Amino acid sequence: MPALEAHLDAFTQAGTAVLGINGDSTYSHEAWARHHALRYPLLSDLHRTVCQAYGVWNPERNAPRRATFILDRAGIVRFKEEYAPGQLPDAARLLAAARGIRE
Amino acid sequence: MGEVRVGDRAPDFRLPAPGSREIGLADFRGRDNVLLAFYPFDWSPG
Repeated sequence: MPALEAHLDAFTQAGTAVLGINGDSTYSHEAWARHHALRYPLLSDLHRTVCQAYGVWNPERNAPRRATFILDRAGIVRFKEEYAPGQLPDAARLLAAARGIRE
Repeated sequence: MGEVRVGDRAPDFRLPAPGSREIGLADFRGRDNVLLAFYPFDWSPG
């Protein structure tokens, strides 16, 4: 997502790695990342197991619903947000959430 | 299908990424927070 890319250096400074994820192939991700000059990795959940495990798989669209999770360094979910169709995350608010995670 | 809430342990995974890489949550354990951005499709506004 281009908005995440625009804040990527700030996420890095906040000690937060950014990962995009959906069911598209690595070929698709490679082209998409190049198209938007994305520096963060896009992961291919080819068997949909991860989307299902996180409860975001939408069988009606054969795709995940848009959602953001922020995990801390211990692997605990500290932030979760889901979005309506057509709604995009507010990257500045995600950055604020990431900065607020302390252990 | 699982339901993951704030306070839960995040389900672990390891998945393919471009450049013949594989990336998993274990790569970041003890080092970084991880922001996981799920989105429907690459080439659609979704």
